[in-house]
Parts: sequence; C-alpha cells; structure tokens
Amino acid sequence: MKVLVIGSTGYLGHWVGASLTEAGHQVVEVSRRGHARHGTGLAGDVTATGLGLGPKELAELSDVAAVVSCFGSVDWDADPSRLVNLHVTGTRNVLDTAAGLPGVRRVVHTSSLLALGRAEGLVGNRELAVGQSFRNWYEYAKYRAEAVARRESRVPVSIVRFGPLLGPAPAGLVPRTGGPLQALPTLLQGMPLILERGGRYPVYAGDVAVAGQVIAELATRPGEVPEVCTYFDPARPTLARVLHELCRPWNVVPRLVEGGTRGGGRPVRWLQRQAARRLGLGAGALEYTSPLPDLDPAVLDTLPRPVPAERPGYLSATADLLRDTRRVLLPVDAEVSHR
Amino acid sequence: MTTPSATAPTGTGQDTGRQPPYCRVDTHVHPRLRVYSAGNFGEVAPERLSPMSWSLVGRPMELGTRRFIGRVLGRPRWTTGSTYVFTGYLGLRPYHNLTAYCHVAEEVVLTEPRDVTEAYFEGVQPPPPSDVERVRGWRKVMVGPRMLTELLRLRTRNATLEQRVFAFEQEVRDAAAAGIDWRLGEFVARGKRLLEIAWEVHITCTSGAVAAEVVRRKVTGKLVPDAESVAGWLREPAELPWTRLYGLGGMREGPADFLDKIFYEVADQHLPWVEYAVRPVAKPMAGSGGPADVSPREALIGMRSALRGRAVDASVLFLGDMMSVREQSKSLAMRLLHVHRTLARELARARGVAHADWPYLSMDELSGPDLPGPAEVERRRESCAEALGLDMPDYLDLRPGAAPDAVPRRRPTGVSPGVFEGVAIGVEDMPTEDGVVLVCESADANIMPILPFVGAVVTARGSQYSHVAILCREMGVPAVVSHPLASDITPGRRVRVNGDTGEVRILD
Repeated sequence: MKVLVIGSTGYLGHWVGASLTEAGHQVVEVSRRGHARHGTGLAGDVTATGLGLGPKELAELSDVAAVVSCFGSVDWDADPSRLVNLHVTGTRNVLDTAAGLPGVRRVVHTSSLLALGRAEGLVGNRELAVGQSFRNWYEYAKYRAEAVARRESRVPVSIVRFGPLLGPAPAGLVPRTGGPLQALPTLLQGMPLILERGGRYPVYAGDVAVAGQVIAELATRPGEVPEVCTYFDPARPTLARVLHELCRPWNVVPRLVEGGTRGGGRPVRWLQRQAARRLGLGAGALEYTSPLPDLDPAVLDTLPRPVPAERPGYLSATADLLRDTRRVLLPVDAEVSHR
Repeated sequence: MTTPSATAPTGTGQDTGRQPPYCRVDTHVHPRLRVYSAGNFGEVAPERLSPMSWSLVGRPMELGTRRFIGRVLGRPRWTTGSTYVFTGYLGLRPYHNLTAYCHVAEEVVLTEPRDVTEAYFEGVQPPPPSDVERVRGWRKVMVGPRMLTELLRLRTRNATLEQRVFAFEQEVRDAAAAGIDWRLGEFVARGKRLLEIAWEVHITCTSGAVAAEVVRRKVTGKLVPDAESVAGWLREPAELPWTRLYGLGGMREGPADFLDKIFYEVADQHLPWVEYAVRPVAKPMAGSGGPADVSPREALIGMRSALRGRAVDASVLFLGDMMSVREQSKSLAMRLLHVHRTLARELARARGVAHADWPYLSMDELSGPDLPGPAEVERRRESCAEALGLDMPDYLDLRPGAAPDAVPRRRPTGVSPGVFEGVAIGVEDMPTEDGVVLVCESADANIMPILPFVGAVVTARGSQYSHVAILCREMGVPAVVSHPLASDITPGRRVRVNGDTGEVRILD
C-alpha cells in the first residue's frame, strides 16, 4: 500500500515511516526540505493549498491509499498565531489534499491529549469540547485541529491522541520542548521542582516507536478502524517516575517538592510559582506542574490489536541518547531569551 | 442647534473644477477643518449620492454626530454653526471630515488620531492638528466618563430605536395602502427624527469602537503575552445582523425588505443615481454554521489568572458589542431609508413635483414651505451632470497650499486572521477551483456571493472596520486590506496571504 506521511522528518514521523516500511508499505514523505528517510521524499508546506505540491507531484500521488498527518510544532512558547495557523490551516490543507486524491480511503490525524486542556471529570475518546480551559496556545491549536478533523466528511478520518512521547530516535529529532524534557535542565542543576502531589500522577507518556506503529496500523488496516483512539503506556508512569528516569543517566536524583494544589491555598501556590520561576523553570512548563485530565481507562480498548509492547527502559534511553550525543539541553535562561 | 445649510454655494457652472464648490448642491467646506476623506463611505456608500439621499444620510448624520460629540466634549463652539463640521457633500460624493474626527480623538482620553485612521481611514497619516479650540480644565477631565456613559446606554437606545423603526415601517406601509396623503407631514417629521437617532447611535458606536479598540489593545497588551499576535482573533460576538434579518425574509413586506434594495441611495429608480448604486448581495452566513468551536477569546481566559482573564474578556466583549450595535444601527438606518423611498415618492406626487425631479431636492425642501421651482431644479440637474464628470478622489486636502492631488500612503493591515496560499482571481471572476485568493481594489457587500468559495482576500483599500473586513472575519476568511500589491497582482498568479501580520507575497 502507498501511504503519504506528512511531517515525516519529525520525531513521530520518523517512527511512522519506519513502521510502515517495516510492514512492507511504500512511503511517500512530505516535509519542508523534502528529505526522505524511508521512502520517496517530497518538499511541501502544510500551510499552502495542496501542501505546496505541484500538479505533477499530485498526479503521482493518485494511487496513495492512506494519508498520515503527523506534522506540528510542540513549542509551547511559539508565537500564538503561527502555532494556530500551522495546526489548523495545516490540518485543513491535509484534509483538502487527501479528499482530492482519488485513491485515498483513510486519513490518520495525530492529535494530543493536551487538546483536552484542563478538562474536569473522567474523559474518554468521544470527548473533545468539554468546557475545558487551555494552558497555552499549543493546546488550543491541537483542540482546533482535532475539531477540524472531526468535522471532515469527504474522506474517513481516524484520530489518534498521544500524551508526551519519549524514547530513542535519531538524536536531532527528540524535541526538547513541550514535555517532561523541558524540566530537565532545571532538575540537572539540582534545582527543586514544585509539583502537585509531588508529581505522583500519570502524565500519559508513551513510547514513540509504539505510537508510530499504532499510526501505521490505523493507516493500513483493512476494514473498520476507530474514529478516535488514544495511546499511552498502559503502565501509566507518573510524572515523578518519568523525571526520575530522565535524570538517571546523569546520576541525578530530581528534587521534587510537593506543592499546593489547584483551587486550594491560592497565595501559597502563587508564591511557589514565583519561586519556581526564579529558579529558572519557564512559565509554559509551570502550567504542567498539576495533573492532566483524568482519562477513562477504557480509552485504550479501542486501539487496533495487538498493541505492541513498549521498549524496556525507553524513558531513560531518551535521556541516555541526549547525554551521549552531548545534545545541548535548553539553557536555564532560554525562557528569558524567548520573550 | 443651527441646522447646517446644504445648498447653493454662490458660484455654479464655471466654478466646477479642482477647487470647491464642485457642484451647486455642495456643502460648504469648513473654514478650518479642511481635510476630507471618503473613509468608510468610500466602501459601502455609492460613489455619488443624489441630493435627496444626502439629505437623508449626511444631514442627520451630521446632526447626530454634533449631539454626541457635543455631549462628550461639553458643547465646544466649533461643533456648532451653519457649516457642516463632521461630514461633507462635495461633487455629489459623501465625505467624512477627517480633521474633525482626528481632533475629537485627541480630545478623548487614551485615543489618538492614528487610532481613527487605522480603524476607518485606511491607516493614512493623520492630517496636521487643527487650531480649533481645545477642551480644558474640568470639561477635559469629564470627557472619558461622559464617553463611557454614552457607550453604556447604546444597547438600550438601539433596542428602543428598533421597536420604533418597526412601528414606523408598518404604519407607513398600511397608510400607503389605505391613502397616505393626510399623514405625510407626520411621517416626514417622524422619519426625520428617527433617522437622526439612527445615525447618532451609529456614529456613537463608530466612535466608541475606536475607544473600545484602544482599551482592548491596552488591556491585552498589558495582560497577554504576544498580544499583537492574537489581536486579530479577539473579535466577538458576530458583528453583522444580516443572518438575523434574513430569518425575517419569509415575512411578506417585512423588515427584511430593504435587503433586496440598494443601500444609501433612495432614488434607486432614477438615472443617473442608479448607475452609482451598489446593490448589496447580503446572504446568511454559510460559513458560520456548524458546531461552534471554543473561540480564541474563551481559550485565552483560561491562560491567564482569573482576574486577568476577566479583564481581557470584558475588554474584548465590550469592543465586540460596540461593533455589533454599530452594524445593527446601520441596518436600522437602511430600513428607514427604504421607508423614505415611499415617502419621497408620495410627497412629490402630493406636492406636484415631477417624478424625475425629486432626487434633486432635499427632504426638507420637498416637505417645507420653500419648494424650489422647476428652474432651480433644472439648474441643479445641469450642475450635477457636470459634477458627475469630475473625478472626486477618496482623499481631499483642501488646506490652503496643499497639493491638490496628494494621495496619502495607506498602511497594509491584516484584518481577518489566518494564513492562506492560492491563485489570485478578480472580483468579477467566479472561483472555478478551490483555494483561490480574491484580489481587488475595494470590496463591499457585492463580494458576498463568492466569499464562501475563496480562501483569502486582498484589497488595495479598506481598514480594520471596513465592510470587507467585517465580512471576512464573520466567515473566517483571512484578509489583508490597503495592500499596495493588490493593484499589481493579476489573476492567475500565486499569492500567500497572512491575515495576522498583513503580509502578502507573490510566489511566482
């Protein structure tokens, strides 16, 4: 089967391409530079109509059977209009292009659990707009993009949501923003991190390689696939555990401090936040020091079976990789320079 | 208050040229406030108006503006007198007095002339300050509170007005069927009063929107990171009343009747006026249906602390409400103008004025004791024909020594957020493929039929509150106005439009 992967040179896109190739499918990769890691490469732009592809290139895609959309920016502090335009306009363009390709029978749209923002109560796959508020424009962009994908009627769309994805990959692809890795520079310098309940709540982290396989399965499986499904590591590692694993390669024990809870002791919480900010944790990351929404455990049931198992030690292996390649982590003052 | 005079500058025929008066029915140019701009008139109103229509648009708008500004600034002398201050009718074209509005902006706390030009006058450089008297002392302190008081009672005034307009429409319609002659005087007087109120409410909202925009900008600038980046999204609620009015379309001879007619011009059956008229093709918003997403405004509330979120929310909603009432009051003015089509026709018949002649008279003349005779009408007809041959520019700098043809530079502005890339088409073309960008000189309601099929709009003229800007925001179509490239982009070229930053690029 011929599969078009949009955003193929990203962290997740790399594993989608790898999984598809391994399963014997032909992959056409669209990225800004047109690099190909697993199949044929095309240079395109998701913010342009027709993904910026010419008529000849589009004609060559006429036998594409499935489209995977896994482009995006996970930079929480990026310019809001750029973020929203990228995700919303990009999703529209991907769907328009897919609807215009005669052979396409399915689009897989990659969403995020962060599209649920600060949703209250138990949330399942069905829910999207639940009166939630958002921490940042990234969450809002993901919410809007998923809303666009859910409204699509010209071509079947399967939506898959992920939490923070971790795990080894070519070092340059591991994003240092938009997840627990963002706290790493602070923790490695011995600074304390104030977390609600000391970080003993799940962050719905998952193995990026498994996420790639889930997407590949959704794109290529014959017959019905779920309209919306969610993947995360069923072991539900807590934020505290994830941070411990990430710090292990440096032989550092993260100093996680139990902080005030949302809604209670507002002045205390405010003081804690001010203190954390002074210690160098960015304002964007600070929003994630409280638990994510409660997910219905049944959300995993809709995943196409069998779901591959996570690679052992994938959490600490991510940090191993960053340490061994001496990839520079975000400096402490990155937040200041961003603003 | 003295009623401004609208007629008969002493010179006629031979005076028409590059200097005013351009026509026998021109208003006098203000002796000290001498820079005029068509502004929003240039986009939504016909390029030329008949004297009758001007008397139903310009005169009540002038009086309404004087009342509003008088109350806010404490009735300064420069807002009185027999010369038109805030509007002008030059060479049969309606103008706003840009110097006067910029002067008001200087007097109101927080606002600056630049805010006025950005909002309604295509971002042109404001004219030099005028030397009319300034508000000082206690009166100056009270300008802000007075302005706020005016704005806070707008919604109520508009609602009351809507009820009165509805009753007026019904009574005129019933009387026209049963014999209107014996009530003509009453209807003319009521219509005059209602038009003054409608335009007063409209101008109050228009001015209030400038102040509200500044407040919104300052509040979000202070409380929201990257405020500039999200400014374009923070416009709620829906600004246009058309969808609601179209819901009344099924009512026979109901309030939605005017939607099929020409806006601003009451002499829509008469030459030459009908040739300048713009027929609005307003339709319910096809693009605004479907389940409503959480709006950026709602999203923003959660990103800030409770107090900051509420402050941002209030400032955005205040601006949105201002814009909404502004459009609603305009629709009421248009409904009243539609009723005046019947009144003018019946009044002319009752007073023995030829059907072809009444567009050359004002409503006061047609209903008053000094009805101009056929000779005067003929002189006006000739003078108007000459004036129609003149090219009346958007911008008139009539200060002594000013270059007559000076065209100020417009500032490109992104007025509806979003990014789009596609092939350019003109306003006359029908989009044949998905993903086209409408590029035109100026777009008004006549772009409505094609708007659902275009991905972005670029115009050479327009400003933040132009009709095209409002339409595009309503339909979620990215738009950039006042862009110099709009004149260079030919159909078929590939362009990229960024409605957030106002950037337009030709790609091939």
